[in-house]
Amino acid sequence: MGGLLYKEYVSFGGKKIVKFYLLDTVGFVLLRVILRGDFGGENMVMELDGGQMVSLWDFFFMMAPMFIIMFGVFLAFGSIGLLVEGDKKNKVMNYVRSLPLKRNTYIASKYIFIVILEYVILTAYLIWSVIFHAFCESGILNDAMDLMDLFAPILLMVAMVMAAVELPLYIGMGKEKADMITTSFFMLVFFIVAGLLFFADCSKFSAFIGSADMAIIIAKINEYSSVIAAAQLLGPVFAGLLFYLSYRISCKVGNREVAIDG
Amino acid sequence: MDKKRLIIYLLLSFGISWVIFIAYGATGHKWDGTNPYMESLVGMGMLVPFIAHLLTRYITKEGFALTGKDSLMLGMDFKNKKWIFFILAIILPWIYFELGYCLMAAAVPEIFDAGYYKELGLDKVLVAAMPFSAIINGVIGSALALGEEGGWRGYMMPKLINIFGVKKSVFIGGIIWGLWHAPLTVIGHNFGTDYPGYPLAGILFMCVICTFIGIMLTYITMKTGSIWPAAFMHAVNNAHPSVMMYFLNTPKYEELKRPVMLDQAIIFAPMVMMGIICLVLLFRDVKNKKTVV
Repeated sequence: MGGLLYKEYVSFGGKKIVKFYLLDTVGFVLLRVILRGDFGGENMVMELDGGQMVSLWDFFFMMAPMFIIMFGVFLAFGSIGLLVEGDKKNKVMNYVRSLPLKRNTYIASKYIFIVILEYVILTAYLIWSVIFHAFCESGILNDAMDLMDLFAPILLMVAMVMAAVELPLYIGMGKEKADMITTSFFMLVFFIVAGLLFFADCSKFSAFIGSADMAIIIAKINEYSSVIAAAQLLGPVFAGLLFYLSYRISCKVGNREVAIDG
Repeated sequence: MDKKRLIIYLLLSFGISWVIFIAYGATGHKWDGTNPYMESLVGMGMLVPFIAHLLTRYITKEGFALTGKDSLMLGMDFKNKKWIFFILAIILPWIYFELGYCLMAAAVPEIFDAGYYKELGLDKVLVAAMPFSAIINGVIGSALALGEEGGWRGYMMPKLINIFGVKKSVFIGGIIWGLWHAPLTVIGHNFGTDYPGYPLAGILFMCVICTFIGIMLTYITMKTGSIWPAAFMHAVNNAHPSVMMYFLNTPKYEELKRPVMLDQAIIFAPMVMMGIICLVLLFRDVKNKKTVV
């Protein structure tokens, strides 16, 4: 299993990503030490819609940890196709068959790899969040980042759920067909959202977004702390169950030896 | 050779984190848990032991094996009933904190307030879910705890055991770990600054706590050959999983001006008891040569 996970790590370009992340982290720390929230004094302050004064540096650097989460969500389901296609291209199954390994172990390695990937991404995010907080002026952006800390695991759980749906498709059908199905799904979602924006009555929502300042949005979200706590609690349980179910399905469809064989 | 490696590790671990901690203390900061500066200060400090571990391995050319003997101990193996220790690791902190806060309520009944959770803006369901939330969030977001455990249990303890043997190491390791917290204890992170014998009594008390929790963490690390259960346990411990905690009126407690150290001793008493049980089990396993690492 360890070897299979290492294979995924290498084929995923893990070494490059880790090096890139470590270098970026050093850079991020150095930049934050120099460009602290209070650097530049009043010249580097801007006023938000709600009248709160925030540091431009904090506003700018806040995007960095958020980028990691977005990257993580994308990676969780964006990389599956590449991993399955890479195995087919390199005829990995021919090699795996020569080893004393069950076919299900190979499939399980894909699932475990996604879980590890999500954990590592959350870790990377938390480290950057800590660095951000350490040099941030206290105020609304700190609160916003705290809220992001709460939502980050939930977002990654959603990504895992999407991966749980994608994995059996790629393992059972191969990249071409699975790509077609996932693209169709995202197109459908896009059209539904676009349809809602064009034709549904979104006046209340747009009035809220248009008039509310960040403090009101944060307060509104904090009002639903029970819902967020429930999502934090049940999200991993639900994602875990779905992941296991997806694994069982993948084992069944994978054993038909269609997509992953070279 | 191990002694030299250990000294390099300790110099790096203490050096880097103390620079961060002392810089904050020297600029007049006192602990205020609601201040993100302070939370991040601890967060950054917690990452240092693992960074020091990696740097030491780089300097001493020990290699970066993920699993096996003299490795980073980053593997996870659930075979041979090792999964039990993973479960124990995430549940034990809940048990000892719940018992600790129950003891506290029994010792100081004036602070028990059945409706205090409402003042904190929580409802009953949320309070009941808090320990589970602490456990799940602790495990998912165990990065910072992994930072500490990757250093203390992942490098310091194996080296100490090689030099001094298990029996002496668990106590020496606990004291070293407790002393590492000293700058934080001085600025008031653990027990505030308003107690008799400040700050020495606080540092001493921290060494005792670290010794007993360290015994538990070392035990599960040795039983599993992995630092993951220790990281999970540390993370869940830091998240303070407890229901009773939300029924203890903190402002009322502060009005009572009770001896902080004594009350901390009451809260941590169950944890110390569990540490002693683990110590007995650890010594028995060492005698029977049953440990993994």
